[in-house]
Amino acid sequence: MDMKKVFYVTSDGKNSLDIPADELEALNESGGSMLDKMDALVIEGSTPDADIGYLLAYAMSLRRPTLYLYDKDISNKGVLKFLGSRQIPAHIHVKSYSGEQVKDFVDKFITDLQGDEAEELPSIKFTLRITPQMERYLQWKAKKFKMTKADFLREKISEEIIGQDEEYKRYLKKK
Amino acid sequence: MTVNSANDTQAWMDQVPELALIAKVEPVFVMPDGKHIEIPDWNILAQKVLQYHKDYDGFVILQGVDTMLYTSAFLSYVLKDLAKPVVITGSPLTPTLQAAKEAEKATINYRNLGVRANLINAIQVSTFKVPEVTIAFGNQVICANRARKSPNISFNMFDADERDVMGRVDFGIKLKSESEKTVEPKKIHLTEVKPANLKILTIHPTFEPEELNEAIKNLPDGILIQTFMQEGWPESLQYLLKVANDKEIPVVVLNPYFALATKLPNVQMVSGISLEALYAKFLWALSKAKNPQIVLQLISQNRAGEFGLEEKKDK
Repeated sequence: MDMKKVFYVTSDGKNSLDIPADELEALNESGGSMLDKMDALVIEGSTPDADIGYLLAYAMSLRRPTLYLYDKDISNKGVLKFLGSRQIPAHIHVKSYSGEQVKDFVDKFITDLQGDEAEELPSIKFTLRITPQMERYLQWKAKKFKMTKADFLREKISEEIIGQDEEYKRYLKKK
Repeated sequence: MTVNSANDTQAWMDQVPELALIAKVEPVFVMPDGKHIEIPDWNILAQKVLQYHKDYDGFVILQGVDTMLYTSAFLSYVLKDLAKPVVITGSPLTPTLQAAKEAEKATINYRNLGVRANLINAIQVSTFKVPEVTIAFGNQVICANRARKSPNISFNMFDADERDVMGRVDFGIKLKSESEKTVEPKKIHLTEVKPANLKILTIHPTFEPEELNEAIKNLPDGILIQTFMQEGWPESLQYLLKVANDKEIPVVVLNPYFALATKLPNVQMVSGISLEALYAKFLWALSKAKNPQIVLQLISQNRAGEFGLEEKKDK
């Protein structure tokens, strides 16, 4: 399993970066952002900062797992107060901390990410009977996107069916 | 989802709740998705910005990429004294582009992004102290009237010289230090740009002087000639330029690498400006003045940085 890339940014401006120079150059030419390359983000948002709202917004739009931390003595969810709690998606994990808890929260977040990835490996065999019309469509679509039919279906289920099911997200949060 | 009327704007905004993390965003409907922008639409855009300028810290305009350079240049001229950020962006993935076979490979990695990444970046830029019109597209923030279409197929559809790139997106938007400044606003008197009969000609190896002759016969409001000449005007074109001059048709010659001066008062050479920025400026100048020499004077003067750092004209 590849090591996950986790980018952290703190309110004092520190951050991490371990992307090779050639990869950065290619990314710059393609017009993408380095945030597109991140598997997950950890944001310490106790101090108000314009970049924090931006990073959170970007993470939300990309549906990236994000750990949002704020000091429970000095902040009240920071920029997240601008979103109703029902609008905070399941992949944004919000934690208030005091003292040494930060390390534990970050460790758990990263461990869970690795676990999620192992759990999310497509290892369950599933037989599905489909109509010839569906088969023709999948053939065409897979060829168009240069991917296998199974990958196409997996992506649809993950991004559009699960990813957009707000009721299911609420269910997971309560779980 | 497409926006066809003002009633659709809130539902469209509801699809991007994350924008509330950056700024309080108030959507304003100007025209439906897919409508080909026309010159009167430029006036509406400028009027809308002016109408709301006291109540908002910045403005983001979403529009199609095909005409973005013309719109952004025009707005840079008419909103010069606004002293607030006006950021233009759009979607790199139009339905037509997505369907195009040759673009399939280049766009496959962006099929989930659409306008969303550009919109987030543009709104973030609109919260900065950038008192001018800019284009935020891909991972670049570019001075609006200095941008040009990129020849490459990428998410960076627009390009500029390094000095005209105001900032870049990496883990956030990093503006160059000189891009952020505070400017005192001045009272704006909007110039309503009227559609004009502006003839554009490009001189190329098989260019027939008859094309210019035909254009002159139709008595256009102006002629814009794009050239790449360093060896002087051919005799036939010299003669036709004199005919246009005598008919008081303002002629602007864009010769990017070398300026060919003439002594004709109604013929103006310019360089160091893009064709799109010059086209928008020609229309703006024609709406400001009737006298061809005043029109040409307005065009040749640097108004909103469209000639770059230095004013480039040769007369």
